[in-house]
Amino acid sequence: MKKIVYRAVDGRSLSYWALLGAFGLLIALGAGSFFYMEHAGHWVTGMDNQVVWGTPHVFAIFLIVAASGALNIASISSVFNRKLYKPMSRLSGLLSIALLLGGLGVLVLDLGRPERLIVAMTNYNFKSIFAWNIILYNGFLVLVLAYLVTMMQNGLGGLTKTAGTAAFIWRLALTTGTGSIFGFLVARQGYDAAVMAPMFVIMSFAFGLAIFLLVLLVAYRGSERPLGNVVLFRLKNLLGVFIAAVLYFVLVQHLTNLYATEHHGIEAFILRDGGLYTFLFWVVQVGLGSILPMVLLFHPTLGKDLRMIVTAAVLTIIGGFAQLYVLLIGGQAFPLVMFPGKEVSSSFYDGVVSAYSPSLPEILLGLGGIGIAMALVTLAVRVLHILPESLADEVADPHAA
Amino acid sequence: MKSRTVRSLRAALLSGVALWAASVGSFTQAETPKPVLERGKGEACVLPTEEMRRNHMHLLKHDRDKTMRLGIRDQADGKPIHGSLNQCIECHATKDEQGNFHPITSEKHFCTACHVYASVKLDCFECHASRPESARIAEKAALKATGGK
Amino acid sequence: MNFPAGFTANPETVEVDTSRRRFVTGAAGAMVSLSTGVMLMNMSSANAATAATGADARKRWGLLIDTNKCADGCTDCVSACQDENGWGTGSTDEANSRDEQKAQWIRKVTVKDKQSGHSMELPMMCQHCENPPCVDVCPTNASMKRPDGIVQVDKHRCIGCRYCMMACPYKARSFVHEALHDQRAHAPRGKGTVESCNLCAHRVDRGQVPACVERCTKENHNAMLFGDLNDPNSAISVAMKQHGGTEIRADLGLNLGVRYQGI
Repeated sequence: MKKIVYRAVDGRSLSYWALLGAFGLLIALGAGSFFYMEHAGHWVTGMDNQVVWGTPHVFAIFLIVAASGALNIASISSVFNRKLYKPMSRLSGLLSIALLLGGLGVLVLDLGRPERLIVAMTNYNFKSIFAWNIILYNGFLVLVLAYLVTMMQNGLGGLTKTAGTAAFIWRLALTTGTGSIFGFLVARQGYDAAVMAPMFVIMSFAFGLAIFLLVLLVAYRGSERPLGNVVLFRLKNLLGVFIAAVLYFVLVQHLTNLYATEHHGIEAFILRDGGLYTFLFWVVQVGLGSILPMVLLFHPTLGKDLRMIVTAAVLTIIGGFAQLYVLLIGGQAFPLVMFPGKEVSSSFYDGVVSAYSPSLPEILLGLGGIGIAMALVTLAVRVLHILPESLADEVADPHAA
Repeated sequence: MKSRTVRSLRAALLSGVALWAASVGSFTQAETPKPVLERGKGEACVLPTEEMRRNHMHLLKHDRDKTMRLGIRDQADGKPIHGSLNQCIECHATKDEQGNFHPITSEKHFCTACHVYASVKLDCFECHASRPESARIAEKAALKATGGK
Repeated sequence: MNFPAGFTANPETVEVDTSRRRFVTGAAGAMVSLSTGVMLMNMSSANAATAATGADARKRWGLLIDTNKCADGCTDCVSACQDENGWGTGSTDEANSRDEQKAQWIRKVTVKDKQSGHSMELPMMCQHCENPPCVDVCPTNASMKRPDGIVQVDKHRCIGCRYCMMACPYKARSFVHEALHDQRAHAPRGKGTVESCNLCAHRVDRGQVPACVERCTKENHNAMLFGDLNDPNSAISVAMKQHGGTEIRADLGLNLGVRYQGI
């Protein structure tokens, strides 16, 4: 493996500025949507007292989960000593910070009283997994920043393994915490499950790598730098494995639920009677988001086609959104079971499936989070020496002469 | 020889000072009018005026926790605790010519008058009623009498 | 003292007179003109007002609801709560919110057994759990339990994250979706914070009973009883000892302060 040279991208082409401008537009739309929601109140959204968390949370949780997964590449290099991944470690660290900031931005801007964030930072309830997540998110930012510094600063390279291991363990705790936000809720049929935490960890692997792959391809194509097949095919195979792992956890979650008669209600809702949620689960999450990408990635010829790899990564992301939508919103739409076995009705929509449709302010806020994350990455690769000048086979392949 | 940078910085600093000196003169001629506070009920507030002016926010902030977290609303003698917002309003609420209490949106409201001058945004009345309860009851009764909702 | 509107104390009619007729008339007058809240206070042995000493940790306030006395279609408890706390029909606010976004602190729930077809109604509000999931999950300790067992939201600290709403098994909590202007002085509520039944803590601290209980008793339905669960001699404890008191979703192990009979 030749010596890797990291260099900032030129960033003077029209396409660079167009890309940055597009992300800037998303940020502006997200900001405008935030000001509108904060000023008017949440009545302008699709969220209500039955479906309490909506589209912004789907985006936020996706970005946060993907953030911890994006760090995988760096972790495989620093913690597990796989040399192939080392040149991509800086981008991996940067992407994870950017995605986390984007996700946190959406989460925080959706609060009913966002100006009270300082209250949240100074009044902790240590029994609340939400409070723990605030600590985990901030700690993650600090650790990955330190990790990046050890990778980029001359003379600190010896600390990379320590920083990388710390970041790796912390990120597992973080994703476990994010999954537990739902797993700890005894009230709802769709959540109360120990499998939520590890499932979220595995989801982070798949979503994070899919985004990493796309960002890498866009960056290298855009800056006209070579990206060889050795790196590309290793990443795409890894993505296929991660998608398979997610599918396994989804299978375990539903099979376990189906075994207990108590959970037949929620299972029938998600798997058969839920209308939109059933469609999203089978067609988008399982079909388009898991099975099709795996076929594309593991196929002997299709898997070597760049367009198919890109398609598979995009499908994984779409499937991920669908999975979170079904989990988050489907889990809330299904009524609380206060009187098992009875028919329940009231003026507060007890006993009925709640209707929810995403509103424009919510969608724009979520897109704003994506804008924040991607704008940060786009700016950083121009200002800092994040990307190797070449990831061609002769440079990146650890087995090359 | 001083460098060009140092010389231009010095020029900027001197002209800034000159501008400020000139403007001070104009400030004293046209100041923002001090707020006009209407007198509340009774002889005096629960604490001396100067102390209230400086510390009412701390008093409110600490006593609200006493009420919320511990349920303490009154002092031992049965009078409400100093930081009871309702009690502030009972005394400090004033009426306009029509006999209606000024709401928080009016600049004649006791709290608004100073807070607009000091440019400190009030958060309390997002949740708290800014007029005495009797005002709300009277309003509802009047509406009912005229056939409104 | 700042009594909430509607509370009347008529000391004159309590005066004892020498003439027997006037004594009987006076006593009857006292029973009629004194607020029913004070009556219930004596009956349920709720102790003197705690507004100066604060919530008493030796007490645990609770409700006992007899669903057999809860009439189909009756919403007196709901209207009482709306009037007292200034939500729903008790306020001109929330004009922009959709029905699903409007607050509901208490509601009547109809429960029908699929097998037998038997149907009954009961009022559902915050159950004031001893181990409240909402308090566990709140990141800022805004969702809190008072020493006397009342569970409520400290709106000074609430950041509006709605996690407590996700966690509550009884959907007791509501989020305020727009700016409010028509608040009652004793029940502050505002945009961006979460709210729920607080057992009329402002009334309880002055020695009264919650508005829903008062209305239910005043209208002679007598389906709701309020009192100190820790006091074995209180009316509520005696009633529960005799006829039991079931928790909704008892399997969750939350040890509720609101118990039901007849479910």
